[in-house]
Amino acid sequence: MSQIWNGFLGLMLNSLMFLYGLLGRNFALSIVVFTVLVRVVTLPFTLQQLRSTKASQDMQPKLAELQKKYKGDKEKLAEEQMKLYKGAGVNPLGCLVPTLIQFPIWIGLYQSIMNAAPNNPLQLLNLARHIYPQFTHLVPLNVRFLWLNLGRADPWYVMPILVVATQYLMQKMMTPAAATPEQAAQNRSMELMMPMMFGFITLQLASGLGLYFVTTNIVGMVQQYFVSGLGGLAPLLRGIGGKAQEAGSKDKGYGRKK
Amino acid sequence: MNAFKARIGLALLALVLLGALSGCMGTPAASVWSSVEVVGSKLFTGSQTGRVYALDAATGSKTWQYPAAEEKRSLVGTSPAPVVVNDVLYIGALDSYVYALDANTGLQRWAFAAGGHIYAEVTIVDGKLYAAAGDKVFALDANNGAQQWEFSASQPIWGRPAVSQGKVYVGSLNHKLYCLDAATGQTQWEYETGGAIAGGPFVSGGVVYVGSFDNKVYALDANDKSVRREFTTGHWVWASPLVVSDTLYLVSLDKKLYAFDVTSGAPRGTFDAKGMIRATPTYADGLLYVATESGTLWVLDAATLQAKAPPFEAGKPILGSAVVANGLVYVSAYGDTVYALDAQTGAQRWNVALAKLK
Repeated sequence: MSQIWNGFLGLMLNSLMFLYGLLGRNFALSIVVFTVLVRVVTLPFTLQQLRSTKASQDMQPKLAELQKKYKGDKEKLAEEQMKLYKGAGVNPLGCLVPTLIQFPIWIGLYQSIMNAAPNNPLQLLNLARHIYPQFTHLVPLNVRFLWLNLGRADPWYVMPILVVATQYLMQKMMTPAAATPEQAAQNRSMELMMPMMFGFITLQLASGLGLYFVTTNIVGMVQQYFVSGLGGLAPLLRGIGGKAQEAGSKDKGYGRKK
Repeated sequence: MNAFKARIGLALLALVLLGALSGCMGTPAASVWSSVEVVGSKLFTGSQTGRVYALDAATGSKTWQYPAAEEKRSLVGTSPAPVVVNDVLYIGALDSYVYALDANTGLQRWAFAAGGHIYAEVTIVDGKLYAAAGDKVFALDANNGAQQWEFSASQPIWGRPAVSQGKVYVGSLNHKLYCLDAATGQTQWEYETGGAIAGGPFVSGGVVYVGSFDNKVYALDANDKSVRREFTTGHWVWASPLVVSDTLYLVSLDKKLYAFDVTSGAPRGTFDAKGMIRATPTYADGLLYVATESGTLWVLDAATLQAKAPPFEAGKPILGSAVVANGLVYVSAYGDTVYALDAQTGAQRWNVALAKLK
């Protein structure tokens, strides 16, 4: 298992090194391009997630109906809900696959950034274990980008703020319309919890990982827009400015206007 | 509802994962390893937790520690081996200070704010102390810590400065080896290798030897930097090369120790240590002590490169060089455990976990 992980880590690390050499020794640009490539590779899973979310969203009226009908019988309600999902060919857990796939990528990328941008001799020794011989001349990488040392946390907290903002927008866009007030409240708490979590972690970890989060959120929003529109962002944008009204679809603001 | 529960589960999973990212990997227990020095009956060592200890070299019992046990202050981490000259101990630390302590009592004589992390031993020649800190080299008066000059490279300097014939030789991660005037710090020449230089150079017989991450050791004329010879290994060369009599020993992260005739450059043999070798081997009485990152200490016949005794297994990486004195060999393994072994047989005499010292 550890050999597989080391192989995966080596692949990620050396891909970053390759991009670093290719892109004028700009580590920030390497992370951005790497993130976009990861998003492209995982596109089939993302599309599956978006379709699954859309299908779940379309089923909301029927689910609300079931909840009303079987209010006192949770067991029967669960059974009927499953039947409904099955009938519609929707896996309620299908929307989680892309996120789960990203977990090893986060860990691998974090380790790769820490290894590729060694701040101390132990990290450099770790790099020696994984680096391919053709990239050793690139060591040590230039990890400076604007005010950032990409191997360390952002001292000015700009990166955590960007992570929170983009994660919130992404979360808002992904969240399906709530069928009940209770669900709406749950959605609101999720929309806040996830960005805060990612922001907190970016406060403490290498800002290079924050750059990955920001990039992947932006790319994710673009992908989402082209598949199902602005989603939960539409009402928000409508509230901010009149122009955004046009962007929302007729079905309560969910789905891109065709 | 199922989908919502799943998302809650995912959020919790993300929380655990991100916690692991920050807790387990974001703040590693230590970013350095510690190394030892033995002078007379005392063993001196820094610790990964930023303290300096003096132990009885025969028993491992503590004589003093700095900062004192009751002080909460730490030096963040002290990787290099302490250097002791005339009863004064000199060591650089991760808190970016060079310290001079009384070697008998542990009381501070002076401290110098170098402004950058110090990973290498200081070098003291003719009352002058040379320390690499961050991307700089400082020359200080060893008596009072007064700065005499500083030299700046564009990347960190992690290797110990070598001083010979009025010149200071120092390598940087920027791939360059610098020759500086020991009196003024002015650059005399610089030589660019094909990789980062993380270790210190070694000077012998008018030749400066330095290892590089391009897998090579360069032998350069100390005066005019002309290349006398190059030696190639299978991986990065981090440790300082070592010349004993007419043999050049060098070690590599390819897990091997190499021996060459220092005059002709002809190979004299290799030894597979079965673990990456970061530390410079130690020579004493015809034996070589080779420590590996996989936690093994080998005792080799320096002439034949054959193992003289079963290897000692510390179970944790040994990244600093061994020290031989009083018929014992001393090493520090990662995690701050100091071992004293019989220098001939490798049999363990005592070990001390610094964190448990009272």
